[in-house]
Parts: sequence; structure tokens; C-alpha cells
Amino acid sequence: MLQQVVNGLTLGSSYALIALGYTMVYGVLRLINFAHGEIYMVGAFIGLMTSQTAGLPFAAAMVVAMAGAALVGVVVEKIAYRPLRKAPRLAVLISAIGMSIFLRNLALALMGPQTRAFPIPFEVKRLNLGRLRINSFDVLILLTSVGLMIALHFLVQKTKIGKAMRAAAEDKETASLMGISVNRVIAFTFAIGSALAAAAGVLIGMNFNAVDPSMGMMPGLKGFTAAVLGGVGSIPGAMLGGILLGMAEVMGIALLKSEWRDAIAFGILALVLLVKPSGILGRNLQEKV
Amino acid sequence: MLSLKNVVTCYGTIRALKGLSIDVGQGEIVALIGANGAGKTTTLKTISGLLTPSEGEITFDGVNITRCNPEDIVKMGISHVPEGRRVFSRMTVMENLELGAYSRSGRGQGRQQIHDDLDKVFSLFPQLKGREKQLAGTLSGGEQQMLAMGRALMSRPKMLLLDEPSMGLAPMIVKDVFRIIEEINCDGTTVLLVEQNAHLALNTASRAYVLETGKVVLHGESRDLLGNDQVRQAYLGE
Repeated sequence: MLQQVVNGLTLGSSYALIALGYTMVYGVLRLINFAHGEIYMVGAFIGLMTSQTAGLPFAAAMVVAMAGAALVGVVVEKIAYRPLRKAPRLAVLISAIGMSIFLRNLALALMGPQTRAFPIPFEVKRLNLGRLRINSFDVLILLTSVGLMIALHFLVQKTKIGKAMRAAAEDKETASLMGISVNRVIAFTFAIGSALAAAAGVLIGMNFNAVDPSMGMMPGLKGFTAAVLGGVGSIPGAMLGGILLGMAEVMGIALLKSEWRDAIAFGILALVLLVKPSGILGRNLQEKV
Repeated sequence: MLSLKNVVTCYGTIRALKGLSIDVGQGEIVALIGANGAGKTTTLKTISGLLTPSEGEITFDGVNITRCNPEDIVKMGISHVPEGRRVFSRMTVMENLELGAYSRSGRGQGRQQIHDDLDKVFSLFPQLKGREKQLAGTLSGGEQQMLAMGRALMSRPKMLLLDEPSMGLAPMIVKDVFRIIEEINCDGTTVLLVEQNAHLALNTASRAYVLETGKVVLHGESRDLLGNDQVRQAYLGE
């Protein structure tokens, strides 16, 4: 049982990292960025290449992957979303889906369809505490995710740009009257969300020892589910939603069969959308007319 | 100090301002009065850069600001308190005030100056004192109006644009707000005031422009307008 809790926490914290990107972008743009899963994939590839080809140590590969994905996220926003800032929301959503397909096929063309192994750049240790088994990955994923979430919390709550982000999420017009460049805040939001997704991509790619161009689809949808479960637009909600979803999946597998895993996650998505679309920590958004 | 020449602003195909010209001199309080839909709010939004005029020219301190972004116009010294206050309701009073100073540097000397200005805002609006950590959305309407004005002052503006500061407030509070507007003006800040309540506006401002369907139909000294038959009938309800 305790083992399942550890597994759930590890899986859940990686979902939370992905969910944060969805929720932050939704917060400022009211847009579900369906290309987010592909940013996660791009991050995993950059991490793989820097640690394999360039031979950088793990921490450095992680930083390069996060920075690279942040750049890709900003470029995606600039070419696919910014020109549509005043267009109907459906147009932006379609542009996001287009961007997702484009990035996946670009990776397919550049990297080929095969699944690549992610060589582990450090020694994996295992720790047995009675019946509880923990390995270096569990610890690494948990520590990195928690560390990044604490850093994000500090950034959003305490720094000037974080306050500008919250102001823009609440009221873009008034934010610009404060002297805030709203476009710059949006670009920054994409950069942070993409960097978090890349961190998750590297961690999971390494844990499952597999990186391929379509790896972003399922975690992308799971991250989206986690964001909706926690309340899309709410940062603590994304963290909570990620952990809860990870726990639910792991417990579901333990009780049923592992084939049920995705059914459980998307069953939760359907249930939340039916019963409480604003999620656990979300506020009821009133559509402005 | 601020001058609009033949400004035309459109919402899609609808012309909301049809060749509007106004001038505001250094240190004045000038009021824009007129009925709903006359273009008062549109005028302020066009000045602060939220709307871009399709024709005409706006200059501030001799600089052409017609096509500037709102964030650049704040830096030049025009601060806009929008209609309906628009405080950031999910952020604290203190964070709202800090955002008002967003365009200023918080390093070195700037930090001290911002700190001094915070003290000034709290002495101008004592109601806000002791509520620094409260969420702005939990304040009363009058307190939110004071917060919105304090927030605007935090950018150290040369000119304040006030849109309907009396809207939805109890008469006692309106009196307070207008006393403070005069105080701010005495400190050297020029004020351009939009107000439904023409009586209040004309008693506060030294000069006023009367707007009708996107044009200036009348302008002059407030006391002359207070005695003008046309104004008395149309706007003062006499």
C-alpha cells in the first residue's frame, strides 16, 4: 500500500508539472494550449541529445532542455497564437491543435519514428525499507518536481513579473494601464509553462527509458485532465490535480488491471466536466460579454 | 500640456469620436460632461492608449503620443483610473499599489522613492491603512475607488485621468473622493475628469467640455457653464 503511495506521488508530480503549463496559459489567455504535450516531447528530445551527444551531466542537460523548450514555447505563442489575439477563441484552439500536429510531425521528420533509449547519466541506487522499494528515479522525480513547484510559487507570488502575470490573468486592459507589457507577460508565461513540461519530459523519458515523437500525446492529455480536475486557471489546483490523478491511476491499477489506467484518468475527466467543471480549486468563471 | 486635435476613434465601423479637440493646461482640473454614449470614456481610453484613433493627433508635453502603447503612455506620466475602478480583486491592497509602481525602477534610490510614495498614498487615503494584506475584492466600493486612485498615483503621474469616480458611491463618500481629487491637484497633478454628475464636475473643475455624440458642443469656464441655460436644462436638471 505504501509502495502505491510512493508510485502515485511520483507519477502525480510529473502530471502536476505538465498541468501547470496548461493552467498558467489558460489563466492569462483563456486558451487550452493543445501543443503543450508536444513541448513536453521536444523537452525530452533536447534532454536526450544534450546528455547523450554532448555528454553533459544530468543537471546541465535538464537546464538546457528546459531553456530550449521555453524558447520553443515562446516561438509557438508568437507565430500561432499572438496573431489571433483578437480572433474568436475557436480559431485559436484550432491553431493550437494545428501546432500540436506540426510539432509532432516535425520531430518525426527530424528524429525518425523509432523509440530511443535514454541512457541514464548516473548510477541508479535502490533502497529497500521493509517491503517498500524506492529507487533513485522516485527520489529524483519527487525532489525535482517539488523543487520546481516551490520555485514557481515564489516566482508567481513574490516577484514583480509574477505579480504582473497575476494582474494580466485578472484584467489585461487594466494591467496595461499599470505599464505592464501584456505581450511580454504572455510570452513569459509560455516560457515558464514550457520549461516545466520539459522537466517532466526529461524525467519521464529517463524513467521509462523511452523517447519518441508521439510520446507527448498521452501525458499531454493526462496533464490536461489534471489541470481540469484541480480547476483550470488555478496553480495550486494543477499541483493538487496532478497528485490526485497520479494516485487514482496507481490505485486503480492495483485494484483492477493495468489496462484500466487511461480509462480511469479519462473517466475522471468526464466526471469532473459533468459534475463540477470548475474543478476542485477553480472559481466559477463568469464569461465576460 | 495635453492636446487632442480632431481625434476620430472608431469601434469597428461605428465612429465614437468624430473629430474631437480638447486642451488641458498644466495644473488644471478639466471636466468632460455629457450624456451616456457621448464619448467621454472613449476619449479617456484614446488618450491612455487603450484605443488608437484613426485620425487626428494627441500630444502630451509636446510629444506626439497618438499611436503609443498604454504601457509607454504610463511611463510618460499619464495615469488612467478606469471606469468601475477595476482593482485587481484577487490581489492584496499592497500588491495593487505595487503594480501601480510597475513602470518605475525598484532598485537603489527608486526603492526608497516608491516607499515614500506608499506612505503618501496611505496618508491621502487613511481608509487603506492597516488593510495592506486584505484582498482588494473584499473592499467596499468607496475603498476600491480610493485604492484605484492610490494605485494610479503610484506611477507618479503628471496627469490623472479619472473616469466616473463617483459611480455607485454614497454621497458622503463622493464628497470625500472629490475633496481628495482637489488635494491631489493642489500637489501639482493635472486632472482630467469624466463625470455623469455635471453639478459635481462643474463645482470641482475650473473648465469643462460638454460632449454630445462624439463632439464638443460647448466649452468654457465652469462658472459660465453653470449659468448657461442650455447646460442647466440638459445636464443640471433644472
